[in-house]
Amino acid sequence: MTLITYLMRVHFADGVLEEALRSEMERHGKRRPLIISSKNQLDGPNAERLFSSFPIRTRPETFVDTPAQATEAAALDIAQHYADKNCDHLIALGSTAVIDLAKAARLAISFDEPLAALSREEGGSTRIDASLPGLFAVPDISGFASAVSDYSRVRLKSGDQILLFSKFLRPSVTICDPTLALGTAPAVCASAVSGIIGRGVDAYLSRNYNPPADGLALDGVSRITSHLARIVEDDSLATRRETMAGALNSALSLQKGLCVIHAICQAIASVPETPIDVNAVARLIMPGLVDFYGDATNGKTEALKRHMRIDRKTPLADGLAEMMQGFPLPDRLSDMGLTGGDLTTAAQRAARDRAITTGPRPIGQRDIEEILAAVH
Amino acid sequence: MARAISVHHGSFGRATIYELDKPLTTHAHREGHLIFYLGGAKGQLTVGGTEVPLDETSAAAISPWEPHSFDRPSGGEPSFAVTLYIKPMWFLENSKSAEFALNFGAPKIHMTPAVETWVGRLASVLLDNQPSDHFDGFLFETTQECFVQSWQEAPSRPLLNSVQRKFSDFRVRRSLRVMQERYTEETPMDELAREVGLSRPHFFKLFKMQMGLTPNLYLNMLRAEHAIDDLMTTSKSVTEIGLDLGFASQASFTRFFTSNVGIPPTDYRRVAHFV
Repeated sequence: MTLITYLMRVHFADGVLEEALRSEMERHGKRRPLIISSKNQLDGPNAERLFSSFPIRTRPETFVDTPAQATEAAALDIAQHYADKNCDHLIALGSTAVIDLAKAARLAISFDEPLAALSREEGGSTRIDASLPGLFAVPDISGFASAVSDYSRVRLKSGDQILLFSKFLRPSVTICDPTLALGTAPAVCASAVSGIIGRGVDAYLSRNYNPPADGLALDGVSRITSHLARIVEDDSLATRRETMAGALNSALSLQKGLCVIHAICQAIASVPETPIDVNAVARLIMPGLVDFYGDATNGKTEALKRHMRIDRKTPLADGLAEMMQGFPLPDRLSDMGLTGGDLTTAAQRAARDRAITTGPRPIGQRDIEEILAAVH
Repeated sequence: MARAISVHHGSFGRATIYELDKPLTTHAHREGHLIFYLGGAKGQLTVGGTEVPLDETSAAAISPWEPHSFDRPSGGEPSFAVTLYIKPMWFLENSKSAEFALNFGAPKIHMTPAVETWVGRLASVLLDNQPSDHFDGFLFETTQECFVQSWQEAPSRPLLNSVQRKFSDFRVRRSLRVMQERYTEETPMDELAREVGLSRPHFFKLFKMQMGLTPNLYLNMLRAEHAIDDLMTTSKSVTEIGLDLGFASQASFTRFFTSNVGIPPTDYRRVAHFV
């Protein structure tokens, strides 16, 4: 089936955007969407397709002031807009940050209290229920980490970052159309691929027990690495489809829970005020992290190497580094403007994140600092 | 002139029994289509360039948006056909291929005993002309039986390029959006072509190349969909529906509806049932 329903409704097929969106809106009886997307996306070709697909009598509204990372302030703006315009559901088109923002907006629409009160840090997850407004997610190639997951990372007005977590945050429907990825710039693709590999590898190595998620993680990285030689540059539909399939499976493997790589990357992103590409960070620290795990992975690195076509004699860390070498992304953390002090702060924050405990070997603040310093 | 003997609307689409005494010109619509011969004069469908006889041995399967036409002998006895309009969601929930999610595998369906059985059961419900709990199930299984058969015999079709081609020109994409937003207004095609930066002939050529049908047919399809929805879900009069869609009079709306849907709007409302 092209409609996948393991966790939620996911349409995955070439050119499916128009009919899937229209059919799902009819199915849910919705005619007043608030579309959340970046201005660039809404000025682009994918938006034309989105707007030509609505059922009759649809009156769409738009919100384009989307920040590079989801923020509480933007979520509150959306909630106000949603109420003012009498909207009846949300459509998020684009990246992980856009879909994360839409998830936060669902909470801002449904609850009158600050988002922090609903965060995992404040024990708010259990209060999030099925009463949230519907969310249809249409991810681009870098939107999958949020498009099929239970999580949203949001920066508060105070500058602090919170984790929103609930199965009710999953989009009502996710529409994956590989034709939307045609024309993706190589740097954007390289970033997305780094994220897919990072999530898949760390999910598979996680100590948490979830056999289906293990299978999804292996398949995700396998699909990506089998096309790796051309995946960044090749704009053919077959390659884009395979990249999206790998992204989907890698993101679905988050059902094992957020992992070490997530804790470290998000901690780094939380430090500077300027936006940081967490996938570019994952590319740099993944080899060091896997090297740190060493023999604690109970032979799982061998399975990963087989699926990623890494020679038996080559250590996984070296194979990963070689695989992502030459991507049009920064080669050092310092190239992203991060200072030594930023890394110390990030290591402190990462060490306090519950996700840091999921790795095959306990990792502390000093270990994290060493991994970061090696690629600074 | 065509006459509708029965129209049933259900969860997966709608089914009709039509009495047809004239050919139907090339058109296309969002729904997939299955057309079965029920009696009277035999005919022939042209589906995307392939000819499919409509008789006791074969039926036609038409994918969403695929242009098709119906031809039959002029004069003589009418043709009777069971016609299914299958919503795109049916294809999305049942397709097996990420490349051809909204397609039948081939346009010709053989009337195997299994297909005959399902069509017979569906026709019985339609001829009873009463709402039936069985309708949705029969429509689903008839479609499934034909869908599976169509893919068993499907040659490997290089549709990849056509999917890619459909969205490749920004002017066509733009025109689709404009038509979607303004189909209730009178928007001359010259004006629409100018608005997307093309001459009228170039616009028609490009649109047809990418979408498989002319912009006129596309716009007609949007208006016909709206009209059917209004007829089925509102208490608006036929005149009101026509005026809301930008027609100057009930007569011009009735002419439009009859030529695009097959029967006049008053007949449609009279015989159509929601299941």
